[in-house]
Amino acid sequence: MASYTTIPKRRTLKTLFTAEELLYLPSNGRRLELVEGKIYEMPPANGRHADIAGVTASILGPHIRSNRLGRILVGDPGFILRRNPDTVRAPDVAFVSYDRLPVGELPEQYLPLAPDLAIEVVSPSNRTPEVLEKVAEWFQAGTRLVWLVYPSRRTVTVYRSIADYVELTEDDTLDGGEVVPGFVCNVGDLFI
Amino acid sequence: MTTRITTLTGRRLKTLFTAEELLCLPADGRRLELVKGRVYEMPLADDRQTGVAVRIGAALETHVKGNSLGAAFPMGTKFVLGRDPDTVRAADSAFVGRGRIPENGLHQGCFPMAPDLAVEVVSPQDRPLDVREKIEDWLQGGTRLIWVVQRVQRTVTIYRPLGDPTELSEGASLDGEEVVAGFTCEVRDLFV
Repeated sequence: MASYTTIPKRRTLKTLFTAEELLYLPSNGRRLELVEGKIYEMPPANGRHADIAGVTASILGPHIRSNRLGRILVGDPGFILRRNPDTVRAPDVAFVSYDRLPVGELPEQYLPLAPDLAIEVVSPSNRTPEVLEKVAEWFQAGTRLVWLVYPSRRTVTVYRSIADYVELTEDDTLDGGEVVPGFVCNVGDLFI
Repeated sequence: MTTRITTLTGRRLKTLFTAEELLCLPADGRRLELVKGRVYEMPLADDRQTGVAVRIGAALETHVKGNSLGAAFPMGTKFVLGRDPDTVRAADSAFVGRGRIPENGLHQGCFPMAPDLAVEVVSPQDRPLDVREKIEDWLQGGTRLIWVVQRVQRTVTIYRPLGDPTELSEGASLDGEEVVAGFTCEVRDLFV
């Protein structure tokens, strides 16, 4: 929030934005994220990318719902990972347990927390340093599990921390560990 | 702008904003302007600056209403002065002739084009370069008359699209010329 002490004496170029400002910006079809106050625009997801995100959510969703574990969030859900300067990131699919966000209607705002599980579908256009930077941000903010889904390689890289990861191929089993207890599927199921 | 093929696919830092995006940013009492697509945060007006703006605005309002000349706009009204990249400036007071007011009126305190008259009240902290740039923006947008009120020197400098600026001292009288027909005001009355 701007307070009187932050009002400049002279005009100043505004380079840093807040989560609240991002929320009110019209997206014009682009995906907007905030990284340490700076706004980044991303092109909309391609068909394959969106399809795999949808399949992943639809495989994970029933398990989470029937076991009342929490919520599956889709549609580029924005999470406020840091404040001042603000970072707002959106995964393709997120799981947030009821421990973190109790049952009830969510506000029409970005969520001031990190998801338990963040799932990112990695497109050829995503540059590796940017992908890894985002993984690091999830963990710094308190995410417990990150899945990077690679459609071109038909693999899933499972991160339990930024340093502890394993790459699973099509015939491997993907499981939710302690984060999504009881969840198992074949990696190949995501790429049908 | 450097265009590399990678910038088309990956994320891109957003540095340019549109008039519509500017208007969506929550103001929180700040004064935001857009200069060639870049957002600037302007200093808050001090009481004396506001006093001058209110006095001149009230005199304009009375004259313009009484003679059905058009509309006077209060301090802080924004005007779109250029597009692609967008320039949006706020006036301390302004007038738009009857013929140029769109039927659907004002949108969110922003007028879609330049006013016929723009009034700027200059404070000691305003940098001369910034003031000159703003005058240039008004003129390029199509403003026909600009009164720049120097509150410390107690003068008014008049800018028009053609010709040199003229300076009025405290004993002189301000004239609306053909832009605000019939309007006159003693310069000293602005500074009571």
